[in-house]
Amino acid sequence: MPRDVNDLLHGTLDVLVLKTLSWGPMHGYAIATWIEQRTDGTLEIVDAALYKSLHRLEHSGAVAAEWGLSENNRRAKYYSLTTRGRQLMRAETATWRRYVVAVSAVLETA
Amino acid sequence: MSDKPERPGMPEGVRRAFRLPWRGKAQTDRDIDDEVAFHVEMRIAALRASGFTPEDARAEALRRFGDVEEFHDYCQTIDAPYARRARASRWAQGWMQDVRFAIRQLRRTPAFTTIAVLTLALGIGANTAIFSVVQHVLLAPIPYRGGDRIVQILESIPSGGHGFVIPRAKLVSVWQARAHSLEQIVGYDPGEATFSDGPTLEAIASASIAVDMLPFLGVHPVLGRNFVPGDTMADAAPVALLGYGMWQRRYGGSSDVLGRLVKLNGKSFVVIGVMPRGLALPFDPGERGVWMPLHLTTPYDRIQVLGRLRSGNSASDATRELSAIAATAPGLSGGGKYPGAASVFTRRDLLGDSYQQTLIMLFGAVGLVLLIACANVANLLLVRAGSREREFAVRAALGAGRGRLVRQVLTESMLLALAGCAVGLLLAWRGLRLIIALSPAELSNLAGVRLEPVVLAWSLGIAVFTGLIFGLVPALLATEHTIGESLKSSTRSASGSVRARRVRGTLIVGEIALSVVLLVGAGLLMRSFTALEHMDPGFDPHGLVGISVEMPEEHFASRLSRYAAITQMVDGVSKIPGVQSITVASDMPPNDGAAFGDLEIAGRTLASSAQVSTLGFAMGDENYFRVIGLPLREGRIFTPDIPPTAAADSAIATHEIMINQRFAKRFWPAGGAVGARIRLGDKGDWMTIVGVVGDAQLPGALRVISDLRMYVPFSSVTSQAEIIVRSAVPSGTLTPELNAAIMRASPFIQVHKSQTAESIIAEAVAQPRFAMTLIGAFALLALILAVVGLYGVIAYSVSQRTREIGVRIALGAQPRDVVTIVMRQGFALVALGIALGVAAAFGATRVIQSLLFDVGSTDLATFLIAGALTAIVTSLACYIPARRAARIDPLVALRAD
Repeated sequence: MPRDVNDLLHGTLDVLVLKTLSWGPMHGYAIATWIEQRTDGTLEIVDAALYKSLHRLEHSGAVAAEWGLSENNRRAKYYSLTTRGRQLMRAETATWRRYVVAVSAVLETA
Repeated sequence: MSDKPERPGMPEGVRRAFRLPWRGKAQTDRDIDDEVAFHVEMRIAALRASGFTPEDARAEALRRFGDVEEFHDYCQTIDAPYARRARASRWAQGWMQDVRFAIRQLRRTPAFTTIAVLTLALGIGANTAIFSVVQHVLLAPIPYRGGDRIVQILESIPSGGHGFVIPRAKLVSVWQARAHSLEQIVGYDPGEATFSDGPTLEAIASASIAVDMLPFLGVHPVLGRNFVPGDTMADAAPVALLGYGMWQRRYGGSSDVLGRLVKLNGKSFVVIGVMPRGLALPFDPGERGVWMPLHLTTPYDRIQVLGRLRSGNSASDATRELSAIAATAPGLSGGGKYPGAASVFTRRDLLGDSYQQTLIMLFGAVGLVLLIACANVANLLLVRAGSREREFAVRAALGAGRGRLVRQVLTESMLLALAGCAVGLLLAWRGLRLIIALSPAELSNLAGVRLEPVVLAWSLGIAVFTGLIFGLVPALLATEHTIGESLKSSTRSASGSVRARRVRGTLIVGEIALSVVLLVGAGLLMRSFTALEHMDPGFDPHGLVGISVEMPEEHFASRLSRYAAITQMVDGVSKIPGVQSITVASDMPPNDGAAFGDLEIAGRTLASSAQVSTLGFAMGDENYFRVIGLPLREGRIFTPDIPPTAAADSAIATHEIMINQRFAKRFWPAGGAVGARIRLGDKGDWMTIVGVVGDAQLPGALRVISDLRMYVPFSSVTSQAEIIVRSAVPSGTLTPELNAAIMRASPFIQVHKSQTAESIIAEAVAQPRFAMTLIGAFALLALILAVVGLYGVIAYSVSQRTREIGVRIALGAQPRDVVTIVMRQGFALVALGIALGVAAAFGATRVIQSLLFDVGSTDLATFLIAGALTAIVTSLACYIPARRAARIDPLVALRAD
């Protein structure tokens, strides 16, 4: 069973999306496959959750969306990182790292 | 899944730039669906590539996507507001772009822009000025508590008369006690007072007001206190409130004024406060200098009355109720013979029909001027659009839709309209002062007219409206046949599109017709005014000055004392150099008073004369007719009353009277009035008619109680008199000396006001003069605009036909022939315009029928003159371009373009 976004800690999906987009503009499907490949399928994300995250980020101004033509000449919505999104990504990444360190510390001493 | 076919070779960004910025909910929905569809299809393709069957791939892809419906709803909720915002901002950007572009376009043609803006400014300015007057006079509420329900109450003249009188104080108190249709009834008594604080005397407007007047209006003194009931007690110290203007002028707005003693009519008053700035009683034209508490000395006094209608009651409800009360009030109904009656007037009633009609007529006139201005600007825009056809064609080819182009053109006309509005407001602001200066003071207080917010909003409204009117037709025409022909044809089209030319012609015909209507209206009013001005008042008003004096009862208790005072005044005044003759009377002609009672003629049945129960009435001494120049037509002058003596303090009446010609003609058409005896009411004395004099009348017969008038010898029964002198020097210069002479006769005599007969007559024609001046100005404006418009159209047409005319000249046409060709084109428009205008004027001038004096609304001469004037001026407008056409050099013309 793929994990639902609710199972992921808050903001995890967003930061993954932002990180993915930092490689360049891509459409939703590309983002999904990119994350799947990077995690070797460990993190199989519900597509709806991914798109929700994208729309959410679009409205917060972290990503910009534009309709364009896909590699197979189809109309597709391309997302790209904005300056604001780049800042958000750095901040979120740092928070995530601190979080991981903190959680690990607790788990390892237990 | 729907998939829009892509336009090949058109990159996405370019296409978007030309797409109308209009994305509704449907578009948002479609975007979400497209995105999901794309994703799912990509996923299916990937799964199939890894060996899934089509059905399994589809099922797996959908499973991995999750809840599509829920996702759709989620996106809808967060996308919709975003999309709306984005749409709004794109829309605003589009407009900004349009506005910037329009400004560039307008700046590129400064002459066109200036003319268009000025034309619109004249139209909008005239409308704004007149609207602010209408707003102030007819629409804005009276600025006091429950102001829209404030009414004036008068007593109706008993049956048969057609006038109203100020109510008796005694009746007012009965109304106050019993009326339910009015919340409150308050009395006041306007007048003039001689004010002194130091050695100089000054006559100022004053009023005595009921103690509850200020609460009635809902105002408080800005300084000090209001009157209290104790102030009207017989033993209370007399107190007064100063008007704000008076306070500023005399005391520089100092608060030391409280408690100060001032003299009013020779009596000391303590100043207890200052009224709010600009406080004027409803229906009273101006601020008064000093206010006193209303003191009723006798119950027979008459006082002005204001009331406030209870919500839900109309003025006619109140009229009915107050009349019913008056008819049954004990001791007030005249023994049932003359049952009292009331009339309750709203502001509109008081303004009078003619004043309202004047305003409405002016409002209509400026509306026509605005239409003409719009037609002119529309014409200019049409011409301009003709020369911009190629620009539009290029823009259309680049992807701008017709809607987009129309919007662009409308933006330009809207900008023109707004600029016109701004300049128009300036004009209105200046023009309003002129209108206020011209307006007859007695009619309404126009001094308070301002460009108020509601007026500004209205002007903006008409600016936007006119922008649409004059912009839409040219915009639609200009963008009608864009891409095809215009780009293909290398030369400019013959003279714009046929349809544009037809529209231009129609507009010009309309303009000419409208200005003919205005000219006819102005002409009629002008003729009417001339007739009024040249109307014979029946007497000789030149150099006639009247001074109204009062001999208060407390100082002049006996008739003998009043008689003596008058004799002394006459003596003193007649010694002033420049005074040629002097007479004592009750009123300054042509004004008169009224006498009530059923007219009865001796030897005739009452029924034959009793339809008359109100007569114009004036008292005068034996010199009266000679001094005012009222000619004796028949009989002789009456013998004066025998003056009172110390032994018997009453004048002995001779019961001799005189009547005017109309009176004599009405009842003695075959002559024989002299010697007849009449009386008014069955208790009146019989009086003998000894002479018939001419008809003294006010031009336009305004405010006249009755056409029939009787003159009786002046007797010293009343405390008021009018000292009338005829002087050789200009009437105004004599006033100070007259005042001084009267004061010398007795310090207790109060001088109320001095006026000249000429000023009374001038005042009577002030309103017609006002109407005539303004409508004349507007008609002139209309004519100028129409002529400029016609000139523009003909000149443009000549410039378009240069080649044709050049060919004609090359083929041997003489200058005269060319002039004829061009003039014929103009004349066709002019003739049609005048014909339509005359026809319209026949209908339109019926509206002003009631404003006309001695001129029919279909006066032939006026119509002819208006038509001829239009024809002459418009011919000139055609002739100038025609002459220019005749001078075209065929060589130059054929080489060009």
